[in-house]
Amino acid sequence: MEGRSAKRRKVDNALSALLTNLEGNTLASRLIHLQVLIFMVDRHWGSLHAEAHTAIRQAIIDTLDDEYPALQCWGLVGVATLATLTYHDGDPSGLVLELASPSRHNALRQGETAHWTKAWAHAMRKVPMAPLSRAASIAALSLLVHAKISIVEAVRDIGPFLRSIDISGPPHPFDSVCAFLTAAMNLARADAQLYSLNLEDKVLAWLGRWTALEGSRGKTRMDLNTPLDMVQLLGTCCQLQSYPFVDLTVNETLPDCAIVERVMVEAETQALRRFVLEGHIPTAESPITRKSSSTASSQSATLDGHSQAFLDGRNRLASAITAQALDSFCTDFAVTETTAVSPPERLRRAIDMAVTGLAFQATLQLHGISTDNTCIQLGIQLIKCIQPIALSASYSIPGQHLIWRGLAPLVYTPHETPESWPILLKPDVNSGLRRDILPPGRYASAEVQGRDSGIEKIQQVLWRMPSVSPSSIWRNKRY
Amino acid sequence: MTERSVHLLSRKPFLAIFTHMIHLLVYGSAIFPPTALDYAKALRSLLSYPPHLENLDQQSWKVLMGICWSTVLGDPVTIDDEWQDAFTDQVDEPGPSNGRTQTADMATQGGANYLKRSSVSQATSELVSLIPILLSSTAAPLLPPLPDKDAYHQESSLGLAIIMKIHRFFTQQPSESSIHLPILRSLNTVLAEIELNCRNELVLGGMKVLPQLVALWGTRSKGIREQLLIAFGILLPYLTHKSALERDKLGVVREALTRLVETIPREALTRWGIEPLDMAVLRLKLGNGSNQPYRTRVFAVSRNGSTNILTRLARIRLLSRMCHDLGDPRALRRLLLSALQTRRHPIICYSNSNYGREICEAAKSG
Repeated sequence: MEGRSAKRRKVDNALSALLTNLEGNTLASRLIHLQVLIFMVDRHWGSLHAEAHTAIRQAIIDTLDDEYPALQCWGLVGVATLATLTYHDGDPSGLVLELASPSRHNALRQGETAHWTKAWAHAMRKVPMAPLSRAASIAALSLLVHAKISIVEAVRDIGPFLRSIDISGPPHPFDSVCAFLTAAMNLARADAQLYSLNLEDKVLAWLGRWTALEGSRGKTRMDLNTPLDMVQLLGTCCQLQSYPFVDLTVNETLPDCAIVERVMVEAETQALRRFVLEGHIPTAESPITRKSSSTASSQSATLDGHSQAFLDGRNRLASAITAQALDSFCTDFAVTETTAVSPPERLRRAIDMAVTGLAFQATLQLHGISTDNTCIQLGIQLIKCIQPIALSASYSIPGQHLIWRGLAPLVYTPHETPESWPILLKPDVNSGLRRDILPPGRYASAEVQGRDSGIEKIQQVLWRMPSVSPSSIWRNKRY
Repeated sequence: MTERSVHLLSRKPFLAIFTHMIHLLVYGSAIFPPTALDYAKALRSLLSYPPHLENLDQQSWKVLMGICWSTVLGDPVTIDDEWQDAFTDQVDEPGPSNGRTQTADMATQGGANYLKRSSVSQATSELVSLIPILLSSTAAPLLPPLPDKDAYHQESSLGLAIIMKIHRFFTQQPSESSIHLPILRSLNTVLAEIELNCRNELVLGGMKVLPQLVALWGTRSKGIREQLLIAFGILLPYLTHKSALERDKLGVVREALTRLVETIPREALTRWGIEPLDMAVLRLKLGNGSNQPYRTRVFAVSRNGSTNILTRLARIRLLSRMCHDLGDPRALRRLLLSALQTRRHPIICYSNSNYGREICEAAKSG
């Protein structure tokens, strides 16, 4: 049809115009275009056609060679987003793939592979460099996790990177850097050659140079990582399985304003909107996808603290690193007057550090290794230092929320709340099904009971430690 | 006196005061100037107290709403609960001529009043601020009643009537003023309310109001920008749906979207346009890609976010959505067909991810 060929021609012209626009005028303008492009890729990839996919990918890869670090940074984020998309995202009905020939598949893949290789090489080069470290790590992680590069290639590059990490590593353990190092170490462990090199020691040596007190942005600004990231990294270094605990959620970071309210309401009613506009009914979750908490650790006598392995080697080193960081925080707080006004960020950072230390010790105990008492004592002491300042009522509500939320990993177990309007009711008596038709696990009421996310494990262990007790942490009960 | 006793009044005295004030507010066919400001302020303090607002019955609600709108639009003020404008469905009419005469009439009528009143009086702005308060009441009769099985036609809702009033307001006062913000807030309240409940009315009203909202896009005020973002966020999914585009013979939606998209290259240049997102605001972690708010597959909003930053984020998201919507291939075919029918020169060429192309066109045309 004439319209369709006209459309194809216009597509080529439009996309080339898009490329020129990305190379446009000012840095800010180009950044905005790139960010708009990234959001479009994230949400609307499925409705763009194949040539658009290729052209967008090319445009984003080209920004990696740009002279401005800010553009390179966002280009890497774009690469990370592209890597998370699979063929199936581009074609939700699956028809195109079924009809395409194997040679078409190969052609598609080959076009992409060159891009991914270039992106991977670029990302690996930039991980140690200061302004791009975070973005490069998330790009490399994304490429690794979604298997956009071959294992051989990945192992070949990760080996030298980890070997020299203590000399020329990333500047700071950011969130994405921690995640990438965890994935890299897991990959190294799976490779026979790299396993023998004991690369975890190198990572620990690099981590030993981490200045927790100053952080990446100074003492009074929130750092770009969370306790969960640090504990996972430490755990992977010591080859311990990591246990989940409460992490930073998006909802708690959002301020109170009209647009946030609107966005949240929109998200809740999104299912209704899609039904009204597109007639889309969400697919029911199969009950098999519900994760069962791992039972591997539950049989050991870890909760009691008897008959444990001696603390040595990497575990000791990791504990020493956290103890040193805690010590620096304690000294810092001991020096300041209690009456001086501290910004809430400073207190929250201290609480985060204490949580990191304590959670790591809890992880050790869960694996049957005896804990480092110095570390625990320092953690408790830090919390005690903060206590008088935190209890003073002179902080604003957002400031108080920031501080007290920091203690959530130690005390709080979140409950899963439904996030959106249901379109289809789950099978149960309310929806008119008798109880004897389906297997018991399929009913909605069965799901409520079987929810054990394993978050409580860290808390259980922590509060049972002899040196940790509520009275030692909080001297006067406020509530 | 009212301000001090607002917490102490129970239902009957409140209603008595309310009725008294309403009756004294109106003299002849306009607001009674000496008492207007004080009564307006008193009404506002009364209604800001939620139990009083809930106690207001539908009749009185409608009456007060009618008074407020008449004052804002310069119509003769009456104590009446039937104040909806006669709504003509301009969108369905074949040529644009009928629609233009309609708006021209309203504009001249409003224009005459506008000349008389060069600036917005304080009493008016107080009354205007009552509008969002009234709309936030849960008893507000915005939605139509459920259709009776014997009725032959559906009653249109007050929600649509209010949107029409707002449309008239924007026609009369295209330039920004101090009362634009409460009007926009009330628009958003109404839109959010009827969005999922009366979709047709949302589309009808939205198509009228969309070009005017686009005209306000270049505003300096952050509050107005935020409200505009919310309004576009509500309207766009419905207005770019294929059923709406079928009705949109005049290409109103396309034009509006194109104008918005054309502002992208200028965003960074103006002082009050958006700035690019800063990486420090984001937490980079791989997510599962579900369409949750403030999250993408790769990053999520982290601390250090402020209202400003979130508005930026919403704006960028909106722009990306618009770029995508403009490239909808089904709409493309429909537009080509409709362009051939109405013999308008297609000023825009459409394709997927085509905003660059439009900007080239716009640049070429000067």
